[in-house]
Amino acid sequence: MKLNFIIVDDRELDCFIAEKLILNTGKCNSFKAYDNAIEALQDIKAIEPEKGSLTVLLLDIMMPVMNGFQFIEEFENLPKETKNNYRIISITTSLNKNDISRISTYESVFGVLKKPYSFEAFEEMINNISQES
Amino acid sequence: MSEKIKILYVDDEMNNLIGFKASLRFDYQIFTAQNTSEALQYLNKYPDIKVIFCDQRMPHKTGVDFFAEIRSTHPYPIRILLTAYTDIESVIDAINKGHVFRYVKKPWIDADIISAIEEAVHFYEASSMLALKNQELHKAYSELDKFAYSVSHDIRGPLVGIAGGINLALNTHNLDEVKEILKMMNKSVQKLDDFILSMHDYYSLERGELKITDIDFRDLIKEMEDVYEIYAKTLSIAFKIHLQQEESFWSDRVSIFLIINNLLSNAFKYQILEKEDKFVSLNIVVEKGIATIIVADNGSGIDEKYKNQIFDLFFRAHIKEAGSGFGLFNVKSALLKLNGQVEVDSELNQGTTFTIKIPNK
Repeated sequence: MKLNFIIVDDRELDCFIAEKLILNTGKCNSFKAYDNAIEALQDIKAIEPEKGSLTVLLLDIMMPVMNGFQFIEEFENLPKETKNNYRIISITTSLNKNDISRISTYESVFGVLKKPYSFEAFEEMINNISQES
Repeated sequence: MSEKIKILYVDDEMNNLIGFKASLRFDYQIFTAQNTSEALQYLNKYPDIKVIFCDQRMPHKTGVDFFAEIRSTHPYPIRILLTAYTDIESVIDAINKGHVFRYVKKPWIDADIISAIEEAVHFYEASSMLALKNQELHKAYSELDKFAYSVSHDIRGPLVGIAGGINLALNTHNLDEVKEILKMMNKSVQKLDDFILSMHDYYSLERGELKITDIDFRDLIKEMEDVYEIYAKTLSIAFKIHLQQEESFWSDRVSIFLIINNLLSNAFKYQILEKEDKFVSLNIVVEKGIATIIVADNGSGIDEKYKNQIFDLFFRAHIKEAGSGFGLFNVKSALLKLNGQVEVDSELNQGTTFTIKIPNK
């Protein structure tokens, strides 16, 4: 099954790298990058997802104005039908164990990747998502 | 010495108070009180009283009891008891409990009092210096904690990105694509360097000394023009400059440069590119010993709800072109050193005006 991808990261380079890795998985149906969480959230609320499609959302944690934690708090309040269409992978540079364990406690977070992540680790997580669906 | 040391003397015998004041008032500022409640009023009114002399035998309260009481409420003044030999037991007890720094026996001679004052003041200054240093240390520690947390992320972020870029480039065969990756890595390197430079500014402001010189704002403006001309041209932003300086102005050039540079850098960075009539203006007027610096733009502005936080370390109010988190904090620190003030007037999508006032040193 093909997947849609969204990346939310304020660093241009990191978005670019993620895009290449996503394309390399060969599972990419569509791709969109956001440099901030606010716009991403607006779009998620506004756009009705196609039936039966699944979107992988790569979420950076440390971002100005709205960080990854705040994004997830808002995301968890969305209707169940919307949430079911997304699989969030949070991506962090944080070395802080509290940050990492806190982010994994959210129900809607599928997995956590620590930057820099290898293509193999990324691909494995994507495979898990596509097999589950 | 600029100000006389303040000393309080409490005694129920008026004659003692008069004699004490008469012989010491030239060298010290003496307050006298006939009872302990009057003494408390003085202590509350003048928190910088450094030494308290108190008679032991007073009708309502003994000197030792009074000292024991004020020890917690007014811990800083040094407490000296005046007493006759007959009270020696209670004095020893008081000294051992730490209520009394010294005692002077009654009737006293001036030399005893003066040497007691000198020692007390010395002790006062040493211990209050210690308290002050301790406070500074606490502040520095908590700042360091926050600093280490933020810096580890802000430095590691771009580095990790660059590492990812290298990996990607190594696995890419198309040379044009590799070049594209390199370009982006270069931007990250630039950002990291900017961050480290701001961090250096932060350090210099926190630890550095001011170097006061005669400041010619024409010179300073020339330097700013050289830096920002290229931004103005490539982004078609009008850079308007006005200067009025007919008197000399003494201040720390590095700090003033840093203030103006940070404000200009923000003004150029947070523009709305689609706008037709983009501008950044720098207006400097030196008049009656005050330099008024106004940096204005019609860019993206600051959201009302963030206005109180923009001067905080590592606070970023913008989604796009996120800054280092040092800029306005550094501006505030520099202004604090120069006794300057800042006012911000901003409306979202309309623009921002920073008004800075700095007094001549």
